[in-house]
Amino acid sequence: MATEQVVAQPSGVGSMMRRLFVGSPVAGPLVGLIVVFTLFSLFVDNFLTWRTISGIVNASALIGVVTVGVTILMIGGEFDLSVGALIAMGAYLFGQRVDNPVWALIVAVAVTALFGLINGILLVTTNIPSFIVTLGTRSIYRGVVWAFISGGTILELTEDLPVYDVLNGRFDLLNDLFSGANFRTSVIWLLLVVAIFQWLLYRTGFGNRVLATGGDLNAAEAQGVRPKRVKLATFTISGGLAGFAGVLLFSQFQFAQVATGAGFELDAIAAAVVGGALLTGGLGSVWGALVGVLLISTLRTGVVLMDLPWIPADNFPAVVGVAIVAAVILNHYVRERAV
Amino acid sequence: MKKEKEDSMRRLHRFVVLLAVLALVGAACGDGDDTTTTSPAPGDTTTAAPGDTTTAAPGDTSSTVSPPIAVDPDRPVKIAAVQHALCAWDAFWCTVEQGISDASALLDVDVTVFGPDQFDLDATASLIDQAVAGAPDALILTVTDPVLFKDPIMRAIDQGIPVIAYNAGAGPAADGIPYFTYLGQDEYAGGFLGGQRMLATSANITGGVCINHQVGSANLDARCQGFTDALSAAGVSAEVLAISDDPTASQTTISDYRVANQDVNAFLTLGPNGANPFYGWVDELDIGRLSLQAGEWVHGTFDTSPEINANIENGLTLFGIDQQPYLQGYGAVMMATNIVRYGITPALPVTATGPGFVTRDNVGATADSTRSVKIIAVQHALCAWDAFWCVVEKGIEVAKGQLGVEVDVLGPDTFDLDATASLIDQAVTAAPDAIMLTVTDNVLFKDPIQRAIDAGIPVLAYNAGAGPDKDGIPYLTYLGQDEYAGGFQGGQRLIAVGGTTGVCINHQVGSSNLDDRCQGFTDAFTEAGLSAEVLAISDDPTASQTTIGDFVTANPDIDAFLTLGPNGANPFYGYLDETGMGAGDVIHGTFDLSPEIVENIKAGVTQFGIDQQPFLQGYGGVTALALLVRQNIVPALPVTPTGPGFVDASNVAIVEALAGQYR
Repeated sequence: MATEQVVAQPSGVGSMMRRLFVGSPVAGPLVGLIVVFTLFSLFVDNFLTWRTISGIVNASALIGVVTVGVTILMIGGEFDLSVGALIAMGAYLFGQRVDNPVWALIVAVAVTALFGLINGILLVTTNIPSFIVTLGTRSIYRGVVWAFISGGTILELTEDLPVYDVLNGRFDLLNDLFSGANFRTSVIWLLLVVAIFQWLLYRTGFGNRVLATGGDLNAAEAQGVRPKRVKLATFTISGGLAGFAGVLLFSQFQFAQVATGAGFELDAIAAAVVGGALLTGGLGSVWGALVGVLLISTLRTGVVLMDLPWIPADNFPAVVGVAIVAAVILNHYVRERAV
Repeated sequence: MKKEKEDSMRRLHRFVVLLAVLALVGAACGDGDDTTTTSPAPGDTTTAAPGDTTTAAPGDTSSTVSPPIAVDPDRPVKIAAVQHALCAWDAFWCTVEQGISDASALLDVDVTVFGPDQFDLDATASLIDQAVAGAPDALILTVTDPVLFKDPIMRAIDQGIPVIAYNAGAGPAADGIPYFTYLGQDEYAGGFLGGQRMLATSANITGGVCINHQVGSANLDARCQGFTDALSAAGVSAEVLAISDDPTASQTTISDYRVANQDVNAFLTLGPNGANPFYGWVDELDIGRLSLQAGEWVHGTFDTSPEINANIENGLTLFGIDQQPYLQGYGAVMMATNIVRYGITPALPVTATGPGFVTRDNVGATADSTRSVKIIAVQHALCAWDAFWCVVEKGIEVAKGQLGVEVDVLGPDTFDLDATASLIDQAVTAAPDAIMLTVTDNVLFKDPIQRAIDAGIPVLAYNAGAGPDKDGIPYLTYLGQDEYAGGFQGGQRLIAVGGTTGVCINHQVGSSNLDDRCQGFTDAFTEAGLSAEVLAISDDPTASQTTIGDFVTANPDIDAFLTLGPNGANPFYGYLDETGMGAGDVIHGTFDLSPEIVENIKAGVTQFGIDQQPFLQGYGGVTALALLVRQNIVPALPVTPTGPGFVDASNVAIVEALAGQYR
């Protein structure tokens, strides 16, 4: 089991590197990120600047928060295609209550977590694959948002509350240190989410149960793990984090519509896989999810900055797609070599 | 082809019978008051929920045989509107329905709006049948699903009910349903005119980017194509940047793109999904806002939202492009009414209601439907001494009465362009709310028109002009015939009745208007994989008749003829007489109407006469200006076609009955 490598206690720098690169699910994506970042820095004009780095990080904030939840689900062996709709729901619920933003934040995360839990309940009571369950709830939850927003009208506020700056405003404290940087405060929340859930996954019994459930279900049950409970918990986390991403989105743009967050579900799965999570479950890490998101964001920025005549700006996502596949192949190669 | 012809004849017959019956009923019920001004009654528009059956006794048309044509332009008109959504549950539709209800009150027509109580295309389709069962004079509807709606719409058309589409649809050709026209936004023109606006605002545009949040969506791609075409035409490079639905990632992509393309300083976004990350990027730059406000960079966008409106006001954004849903409702009712009352048909298969540009000048303007409006019309000729202008002035009179606006018509006593030019200055001095005029001489009239525009008076052109670009005068729009479209649609009609090899008989080769007609005609044939060419004839009718005969002898395949007015039609008819040919032997269409052309349409020799619809030039000018002043609705395109208006067997009777007044 993957946890064994992490629990093992090697000593010295060499063995630390060994530990990092052999067996850890982060190894492949981290190598990929370093290689891609170095290549772009060497060969692409204007790449190695604080503007670029802050841009890559900012672009990772929303999708990063969502990917953490999706990754934990995938480690537990499940998918959630409804997160895009829950982003819209979180954004809308948060934007509704301008009078009491803290309460609004709690409501937004709690309600989306509840909808996540509903996904879980549907799964454990029917045993229908989560891919199908959430394919259905993906549309149902959009319908719920549609009903909230009453017929497709956009929710947009023009007033700027201090809470928006706290959640996703300009991070001037950091920007003043680095010339040209445009970091946003969302980076703090992203890192906080990553740290909390990495700790939860690798330093708690709950994490062990998630990894066990996704790895070998029978063995897990034999050890006393109750997979249904684990799955309910992971779906709740995934829903709540999607709602929180919606809160961050609304904080920056003060904007939500029914279609907000469309497509995030697949981007999050892509980032999770690039970050070393297995589609079959049982392997992956939250750090890896962060690295995967950063890698995709770096690729996008690099390809746009290259400005190659044969990559028109309206078709660069295709090139990013090719790079994602390449990253996964590299990932796989590193993992195979490690075994 | 023959079947189609029979069908169309049958439809025509039913239509004429229906019109006649309704006209007779109308005449019988008429109160003798022939003024078109009515007290706006808001209750005129009724909304019917599904299940609410509107009971109306359809006239028993089957037993009526060839009644005399009686036309009463002031008779009651009943219109059914079917749409896939309602104001009751989707706020967007409140604006559309406001347009419908205003038009209903002003034009004094009854409109019943049908819609499902939730989004349900099957229910909407059955509402079409329900609406048609009420035997309305005209049907206006959203063609939300051309496949599902086709059969119910065809049942309406087969009953001779004129059909107009609004808001949802793609035009009769793309939808495969022969309705008159579709009222909606011209996406390509929006991008193109947006690009032109940016170029006109800032002299130092060095590169443009269209930020597309959904590459591959045909509507959005058309907007970008228009934008890049406009910039390319001015020698400025422009391209499309794909962004995603993730606004933070999109913001980074815009930033990256700009770093890699430092020359780009014109930005077009396609809605809030592009505008929001754009504003996010601008805010993260120290110079972003300043560059936009100083005009070193320019930003325009499709759609409006509270943030876009705020940024238009503070000078960050040059314009927001609106599809003007009010005009979709108002225009659909207006066009349906004009077809029923006067036989005036929409000129083009797609009628643009947008782009409507929202700029710093009109952002946040509120509608005031009761506001008094004073318009001055300046034209180079008058009904008093040129009968053609009686039809134009009739249009002005009718619109004036319907809308309750004040219109003064100024014109010289004889044809005198200098006198006309000074009448424009006289009009400006009177400080009206708006001016409409004929741009008979764009050089001579330029300064006086510019003085009107500088005085903040909205100006539009009618009957004479070539559009603001060609005339070099920035007036709003020009109402006149689209010559190319006339030739093109004429060609399509001749092909539809069996034409395989065409000839455009041009009596003035080198005259750009006439050349455009022939170009449209030959393009229609080429597009259908057929061939057509242009034959030059002269002003000498006998020589021209001989030329036509010689040409046909040399090209025996020719079976479809287009003439460009009586100067071509008369020698053509002479050639037919000479060879003993008549109805069924040739396929012929022509521009313009004359007593001889009308006789030949009735006899079946000539398929159609194409009319520029001068009534609509006067009527449309007053309507457009009243909508502008009261409702903040701006003309969508630099040229607003009033023609081609086709006069064929289906409407020749009504046109003839109204000749000299409305046609």
